[in-house]
Amino acid sequence: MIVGMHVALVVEDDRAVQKVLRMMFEANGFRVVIADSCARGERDARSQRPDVSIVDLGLPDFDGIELIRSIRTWSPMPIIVLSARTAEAQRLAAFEAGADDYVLKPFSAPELLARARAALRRHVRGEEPSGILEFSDLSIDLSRRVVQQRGGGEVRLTPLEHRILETLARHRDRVVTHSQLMKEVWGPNRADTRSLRVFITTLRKKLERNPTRPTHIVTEPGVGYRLVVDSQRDDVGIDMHSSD
Amino acid sequence: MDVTSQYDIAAGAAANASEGAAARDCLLVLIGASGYDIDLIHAGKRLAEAVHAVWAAVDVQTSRFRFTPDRDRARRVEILRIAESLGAEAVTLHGTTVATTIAAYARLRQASKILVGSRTRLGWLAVSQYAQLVALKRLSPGIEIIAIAPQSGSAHAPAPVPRKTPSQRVEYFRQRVRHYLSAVAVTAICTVIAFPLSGHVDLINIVMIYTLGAAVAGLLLGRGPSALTAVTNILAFDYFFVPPIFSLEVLDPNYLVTFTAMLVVALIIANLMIAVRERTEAAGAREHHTAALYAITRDLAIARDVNAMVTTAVRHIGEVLQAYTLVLMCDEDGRIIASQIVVARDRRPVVDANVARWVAAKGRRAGMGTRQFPAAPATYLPLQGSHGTIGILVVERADATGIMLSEQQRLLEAMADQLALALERARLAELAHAAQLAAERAILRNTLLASISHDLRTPLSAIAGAGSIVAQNDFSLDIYRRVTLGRLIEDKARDMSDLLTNVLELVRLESGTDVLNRDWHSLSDIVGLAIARHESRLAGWEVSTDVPGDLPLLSVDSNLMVQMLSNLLENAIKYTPPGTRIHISAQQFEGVIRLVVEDTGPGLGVDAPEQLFEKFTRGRLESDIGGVGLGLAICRAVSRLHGGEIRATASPMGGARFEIAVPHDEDPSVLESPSSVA
Repeated sequence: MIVGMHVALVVEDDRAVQKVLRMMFEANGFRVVIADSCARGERDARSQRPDVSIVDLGLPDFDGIELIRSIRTWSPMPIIVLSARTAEAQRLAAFEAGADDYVLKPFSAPELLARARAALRRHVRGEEPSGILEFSDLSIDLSRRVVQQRGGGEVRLTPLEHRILETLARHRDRVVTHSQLMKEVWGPNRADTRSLRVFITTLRKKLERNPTRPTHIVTEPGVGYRLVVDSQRDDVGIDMHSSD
Repeated sequence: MDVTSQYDIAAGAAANASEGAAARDCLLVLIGASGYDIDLIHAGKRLAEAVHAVWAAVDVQTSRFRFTPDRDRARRVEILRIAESLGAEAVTLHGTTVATTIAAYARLRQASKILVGSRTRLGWLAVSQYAQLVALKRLSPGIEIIAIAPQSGSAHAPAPVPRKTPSQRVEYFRQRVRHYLSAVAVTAICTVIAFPLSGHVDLINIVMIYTLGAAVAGLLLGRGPSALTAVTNILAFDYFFVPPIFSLEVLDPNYLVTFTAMLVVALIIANLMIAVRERTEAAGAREHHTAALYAITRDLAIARDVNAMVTTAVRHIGEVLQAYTLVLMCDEDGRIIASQIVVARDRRPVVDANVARWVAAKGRRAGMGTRQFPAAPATYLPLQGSHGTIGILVVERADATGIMLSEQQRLLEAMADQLALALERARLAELAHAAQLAAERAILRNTLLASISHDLRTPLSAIAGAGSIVAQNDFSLDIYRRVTLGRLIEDKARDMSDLLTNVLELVRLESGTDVLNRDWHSLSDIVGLAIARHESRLAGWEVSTDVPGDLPLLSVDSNLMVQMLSNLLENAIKYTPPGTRIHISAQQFEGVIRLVVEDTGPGLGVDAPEQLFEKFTRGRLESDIGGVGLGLAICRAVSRLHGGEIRATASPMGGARFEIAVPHDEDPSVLESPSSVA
């Protein structure tokens, strides 16, 4: 896939990481803008109009989550968090603030690049799901509520399973938090995640080749689920080794 | 007079003291018999200091002590306490007369001086002050008897003790009347027995029956009623048996001798009997005392923690003294910790916070029967440890007078001492335990630092070396070598990161109990996440799973469970060659989920697989495989936190097998079944 001259905003205060990220993006045809604080990040985000932002959470002036919240008030651009914070609560907070993805430090450059490109593609394509989703050997017609295997057999889904799948598909390739999913499927005032976990298990049994190692309905631990439709990762620059 | 057998509980202490006192002069102060004991005590203290002598305040309790009013007894106990606080040894002796008892004790202690009040009464048979002093001097050759006059204007104020209530006076009076009536009844019974024998036996045998009656009266009744029996016996004998019968007239003057002999014998018998009874009672009381002390000591020795000790002591004291009892615990600064109050019996004493604070601060007793806060209904005893007051024992007598006799006071103090000792022991044990923990932690920390510094330096040197080669411009590296070095750097950095994660995780797991972030999770999800974490590195291994989808959800900390599985996978990657098969399976057995990770690799290679779960233990010591031996320690910590266990065995597949058993609660009910909602 040819990306063209995209602009990547890197909000990160560590010089070494700045350097690595700059090298990585520039080697892959991005123009890089570097900001070392939330304030500069906000300013550069408005003036440079980046296509994607990489945001560290531990910044000298404010928490990176504040920056994400602030950018989300005026821009839908893809934001990828790059942080050493592993706690589930912090990941959840980042996603709820509007982050598209969360990459843990120490990070692998090819993986980060792949995630940035996937986020870009989603953004360019837009959020609206087309009527028919196709992945691996399944085709899902969301409007007609029909799931078909490539061989022609139909996969029967219960109405609730379908509603979950539809919700995940609407935000495909992005993380849907537990609470968001519960609200959209069961309505408000539901706090118990047990039934959700059971339905995800049954959905995986019907849709995944190996339900224990799912490739489409992926768990984002402590945060929620993500429907991975586009699982290509082989479009990484040739001078970086890809994770095989 | 055998005095040694009559000592109070203090006898042991006195005997010990006498050994040590051989070098030092000893001075006794006799208290309890004069009205100005306080003056005596102070005089004794001054004199003892002047001649550098040890001194003891001695209270002699003769048979008369039974008739001593309770408030007087309480006063004497208080005097002994004051003497104790002034540095004296407090001794209570039991004996027939004050003079003989104190003289015998003075010989035993090799005392050189005895201080008495010049108005001291030394025994009920003595007729004058002077005669008593002479008697004491005669009994104590070589001992200086010093008579002290009361200090003019010394207003001695004994600790006030509540007076008897009117109803108690009535009860006491009734008992006395009953005793005197019984005395008359004894004579009547003797007469009824003797009258039919009249004419068949000699009068001398009739006299014997009356004498027997007098002996019985002496054994059962007090001194007064016994004397009454002696008199009525003579009257009855005269009236019913001595001719002329049924008249008090006596024709034969010989009978006057008989009457006199009868009276004297009856009085002597009564006195002896009373003495015997009192000694028996005293022995009984001492035995009771000893048994009570033994019981509390034994139970305190069994008690494991402070709470059990306090509960035991409160129960014992409550039972023995018929008292409402509680213990207030003090913290290290002597403040009262209200939360540690332990109460026994149905009621608890009313605690006056001011009194309790005073006792905690001063470390002295207060409340009823003492000079401080005497109006308080309960007695407060400090439980003294080596570093101040550990707690306060509050005792309120269950009966209305609330008075505690000297024996009971002693017993209570002895019990309080036992409790204080036990609490001190518990505190020391706690300190020792804490010290041991601290030492273990220090060792652990040192081992950890040593291991980490080694395991961080090794990858760091590889990274630094590889980096310096890549950075060198004149090493014209081909692309293959550059990629190799780059991957080396990345892998080593990742190793370090994993190590750091493990160390932090272990520190967190061992830091406290409230570390689990439980939620309902499906096991297949957890297994999937663990595999995904090592996706790229597992590429060379053949991973298979058998985790049924219908397993119940588990209430676990998913992060930790994933970390545990991830550590097991990590080990499989490190210790088995590529191409090895790794199989993850799960099964449900009554209430337990068994999760198994096994492989076809070379196996554990150790004799005692249990040791692998210890910190810093590694299967192969001399190996080039990185790691500090924390992975399995974390696995064990995680499984134990979830109430489960992890075991390492040989796998039927040929390699190593790790089995984690995690208990699961009832399968959470899924509220909507997939078909029930439209």
